[in-house]
Amino acid sequence: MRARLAPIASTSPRLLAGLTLLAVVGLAALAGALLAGDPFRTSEALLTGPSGHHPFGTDNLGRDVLDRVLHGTGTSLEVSVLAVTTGTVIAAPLGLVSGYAGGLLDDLLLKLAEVLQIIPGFLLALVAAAVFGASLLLLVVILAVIFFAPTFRLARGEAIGLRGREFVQASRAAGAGHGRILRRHILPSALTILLVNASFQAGTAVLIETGLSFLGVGERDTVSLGAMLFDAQSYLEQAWWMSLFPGAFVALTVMGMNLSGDGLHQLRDVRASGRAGPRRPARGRGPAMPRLGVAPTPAGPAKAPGGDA
Amino acid sequence: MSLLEVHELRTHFDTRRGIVKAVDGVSLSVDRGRTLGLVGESGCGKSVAALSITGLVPRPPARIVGGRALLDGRELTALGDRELEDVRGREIGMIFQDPMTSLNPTLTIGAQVCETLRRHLGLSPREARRRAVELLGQVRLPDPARRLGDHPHVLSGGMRQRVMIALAIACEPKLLIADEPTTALDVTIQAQILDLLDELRRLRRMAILLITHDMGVVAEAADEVAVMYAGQIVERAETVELFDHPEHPYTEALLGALPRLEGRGLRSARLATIPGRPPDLAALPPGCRFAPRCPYAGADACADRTPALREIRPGHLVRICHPASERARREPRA
Amino acid sequence: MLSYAARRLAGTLGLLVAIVVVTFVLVDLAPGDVAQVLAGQAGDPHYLADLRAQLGLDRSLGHQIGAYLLQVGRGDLGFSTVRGEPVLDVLAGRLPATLLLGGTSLAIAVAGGVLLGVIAAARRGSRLDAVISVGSLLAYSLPVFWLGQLLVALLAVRLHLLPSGGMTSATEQLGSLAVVLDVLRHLILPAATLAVLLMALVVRTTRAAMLDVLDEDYVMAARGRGIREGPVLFRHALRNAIRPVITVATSELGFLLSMLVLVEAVFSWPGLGTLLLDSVLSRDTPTLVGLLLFSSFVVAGANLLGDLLYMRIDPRVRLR
Repeated sequence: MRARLAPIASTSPRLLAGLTLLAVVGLAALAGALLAGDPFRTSEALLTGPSGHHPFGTDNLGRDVLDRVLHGTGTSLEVSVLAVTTGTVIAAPLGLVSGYAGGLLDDLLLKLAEVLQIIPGFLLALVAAAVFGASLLLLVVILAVIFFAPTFRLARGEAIGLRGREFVQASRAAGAGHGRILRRHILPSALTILLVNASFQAGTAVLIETGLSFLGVGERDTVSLGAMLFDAQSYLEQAWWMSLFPGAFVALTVMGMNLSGDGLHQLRDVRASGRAGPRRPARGRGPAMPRLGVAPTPAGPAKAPGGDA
Repeated sequence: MSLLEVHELRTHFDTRRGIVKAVDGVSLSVDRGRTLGLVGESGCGKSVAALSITGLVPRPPARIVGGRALLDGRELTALGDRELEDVRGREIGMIFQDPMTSLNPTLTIGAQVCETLRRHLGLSPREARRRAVELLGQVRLPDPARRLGDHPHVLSGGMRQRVMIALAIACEPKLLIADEPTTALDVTIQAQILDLLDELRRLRRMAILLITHDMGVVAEAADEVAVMYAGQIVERAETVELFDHPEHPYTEALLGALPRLEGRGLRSARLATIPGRPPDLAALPPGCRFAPRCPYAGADACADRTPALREIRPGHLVRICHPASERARREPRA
Repeated sequence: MLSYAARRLAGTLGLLVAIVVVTFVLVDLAPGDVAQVLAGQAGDPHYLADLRAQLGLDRSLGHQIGAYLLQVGRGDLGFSTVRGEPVLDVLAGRLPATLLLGGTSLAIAVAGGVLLGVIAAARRGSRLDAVISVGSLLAYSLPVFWLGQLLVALLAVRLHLLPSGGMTSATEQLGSLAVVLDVLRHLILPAATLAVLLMALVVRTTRAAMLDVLDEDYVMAARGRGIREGPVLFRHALRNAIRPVITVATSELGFLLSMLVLVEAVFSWPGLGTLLLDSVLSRDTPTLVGLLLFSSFVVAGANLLGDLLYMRIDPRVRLR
């Protein structure tokens, strides 16, 4: 294990930094669940600054900010991991099979994904959360819906690209069945890029979750970093710590996820260019950073023919 | 003194696999009004040599670790980036292999030609336009005035290469470096382009460094030939001398790969039939770089020691332990 | 070209209808309605029924949607009962503030982002490139509302350099020049906050597109003609790399709108973002639907504009 980690660190410091951040944030969330005090317990000590007793200070109800930050980080991680896992587990296999098999079903699914992608995700989540009353379950479902389209299209594109490659063709010629090819060749080759995609999406999920609770449409019974920032908004003049610490934990979590995604992507490119083959990377195949609340650009209506020989 | 003189040029690339010695001690020279053919398989370093001379190799990963290149006595390898920009396009014109991809698709032909003229000659927009029409006429682009407003994608490959040539000679450079100028073109167009280059050379007393892998192109267009193998020049001579009396087994093989037909078939000939592959430039053999493929390599020193380039006849240089003219005496032993 | 525009328009109309339907269905599924909100929690049942009839809420959902679409077809976005104003007037009242904030930050983000992206790509692999690309990745990871809070806490609260929120200082009567300066002072913090996020996106898009283009033969050919490095990057390469950047700048107005909701909330900026939030919270369906329709219309229009712009730059682009 150590022998494999060393080269990763040297070729992609970003991945290492990202994973380190995630480990720190994960430990914080774990500490929140196991060790931290009750995040709802109020006290007489209102709006006191950071001290030995309350390292991150207290809020307007005298609650300990550190306890709340640790719990809130757990909420963010929980929502984002659940949402991204759900989205990926549904969308990725569907995309791989759809792209590999092609045909009418593929066309239909692609159309569905295109339509889904047009809807601005953050606004959809905002309306839905406000209308239905926010719950973590609803949030996970909405996020999974938002992430479906980009993940499906990425997996589909990978499968289409891999379908024509020599090693897949060779395997076909050797008599391997479609199921075996999908499992043995297509899935493993697409795995890294799907992981890159998932880790960017996890970052987006955290931003959407905290953004919604910041706007006051999150679930009020769970501690959320976004809701803490909402509370902090009214006390910016007296209690900067109410904003600084929760926000920093959101930022660190998202940075950890984005750095991991970016580093993993870099690593994949380095590996790919280390092998023999065309030096120029295939265009537009990498997952763009999924953008908060946005329809990532579909293939685009305007098309340039690649050299009109 | 020759117009272009290159002494012991060395360009190395730092890569993951180690140092790739793409150009490893290349010396050559080209006189005014003459054409030197630089021949070799792809990957032998001939393009890197040309790019090193003009300061176009990407640094990093490349490093010019030794040697000098002089144009008209001026040391190119000592110039800064901005000075090299002044030399390129003004004193050295360049033509690249693929005319389909070497013109900017988002700029009109006129914009690209005029930009070059104005950059180096300081012409007014109107003068530049007039000169551009003239130039496109010189390279025989039909209806040049109208072509100025066209974007590259409406032109055929041959026409685009004519535009590339017009761009290269726009500022009347002393030296033209043509890197595989005909490789991407149809056979019939190839001859036209070579004729055009030859005509321009005679008209303007330009020197041409013609980089190619095609002995047919060399036979047609070059006065002198330098054969490159694994980053080094292995044989250099006048074209006629080289074709009549090749000394290096690699050159012999290149020529052997030519169909024995005279005339048209000559141009389409490619080097294909030499057994084995060129060595890995990051892990060169200790001795003669051709030894692993050399039919005459035996138990001699050539496996341990790189042979020097020596003048086997006046004006004919070769780097091998077993030149053809000395082989008769040695072969019976083998 | 005209037929292309016509097809795009048809597609946009379809999208707008879809948005109307989805929003109506979502709101209908939710417990409670606007009549309840207006009448208060313990409203008189008769009053409630009257109100529903008056608002057309007693009719079937399909009927409501159909009536609304017809109305929109006549150029009328309906009446906001909550605000007691036609929706069109509500939107028109909020639009300038959002245009000012969104336009300013988008302009800053595109100008700065393209510049930084080109520099990073030109110096690929250098320390500067690493700083720019990691920096944009980290900036992109910031929760925009937190960034806004930090700036307020530091520059407004602590240093008293800038106002902490709102668009004008309503306390005194000011001359016209003073009003402009006052609005500009209020604009700085929210515009900077928004611009940082948008710029991060533009930097990454530009850098990636430029890296592809810089490998192209025509870039080498331009250098081979001695074209200066500046024009090589900004004229030869950027012209070919600009398409994804235009796409980001135009098609990602949805992203911009999401960010606007958050930033306007932090800075109490009286724009469409706060309006959207208010109308969501107060169940003001006519305003909400009107707002979504309006923004989709703007997004679609911007996309079309982006394509036309790109077609002017690259003649090979054919619109299908």
